Amino acid sequence: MKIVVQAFAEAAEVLGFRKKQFDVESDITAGELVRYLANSNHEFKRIAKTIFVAINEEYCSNDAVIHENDVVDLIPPVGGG
Amino acid sequence: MMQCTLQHEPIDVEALLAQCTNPSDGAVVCFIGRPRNIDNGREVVYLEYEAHQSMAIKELNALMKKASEQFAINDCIVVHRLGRVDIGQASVVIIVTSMHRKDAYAASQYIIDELKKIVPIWKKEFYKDGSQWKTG
Repeated sequence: MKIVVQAFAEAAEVLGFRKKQFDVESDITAGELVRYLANSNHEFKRIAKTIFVAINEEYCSNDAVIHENDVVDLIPPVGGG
Repeated sequence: MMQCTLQHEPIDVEALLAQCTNPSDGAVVCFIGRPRNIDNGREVVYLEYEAHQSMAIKELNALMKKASEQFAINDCIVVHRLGRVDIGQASVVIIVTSMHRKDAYAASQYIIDELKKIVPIWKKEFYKDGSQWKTG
C-alpha cells in the first residue's frame, strides 16, 4: 500500500527527503516503519529512538497501524521557544 | 480572542498588545522568548527555526484551548518565528489576559512549558564554527 512520509528537522537532514511516497506492507505499524527506515539508513538509526510519529497530524504510539494513503510524520524532539 | 501565528517576519509586540482591549482584564502578561548569545559555553551567532506548520498551528490551538479550560483567562495570543532569528530578537511571544494576574501568569507558564514539549517546532543553533539542533 502507498503512504506518504514527511520528515522534519534532523530527520529530514539524515534521510535526505522532506516528503516521499513509500510502498509498504499492509498493517505496518508506526514503530515498524521507523525500524525499517533505521535499517536502511545508518544516520537515521542513530536518532531513531528519539523520533515521535504522527499519523495524519495526530501523535501516535509505536503500535499504531498505518493505513493506505496515510501521511506519516517523523518528528524529532521538538525545540520551540 | 485566541490566535496563534507562525511567521518569518519580526514580531511586533506592541501591535499584539494593542489587540487586547477587554476592559475587565486587569492583568496582561507578555512572555518574550529570545535566543541566548551563549549556550553551554559556545557563542551562538543566530538560530534557525522550522515547523511542521499545519500540525504546529493545530497543536497550538489545542494548547490555548486547554489553557482557557484550566485558567480563567480571556485573550490569548501566541506568535512564533520561523527561519533565521538573530540574538536579541523575539523568537516567541505569548500574551495572556485575565481579570486577575494569577491566572494570566499561570496560563503563560503553562503554554510555554507545553509548547516546548509537544508543538512540532525545531531550532538549530549556529555558531562561528558549526551548528546543532537543540531541544527544549
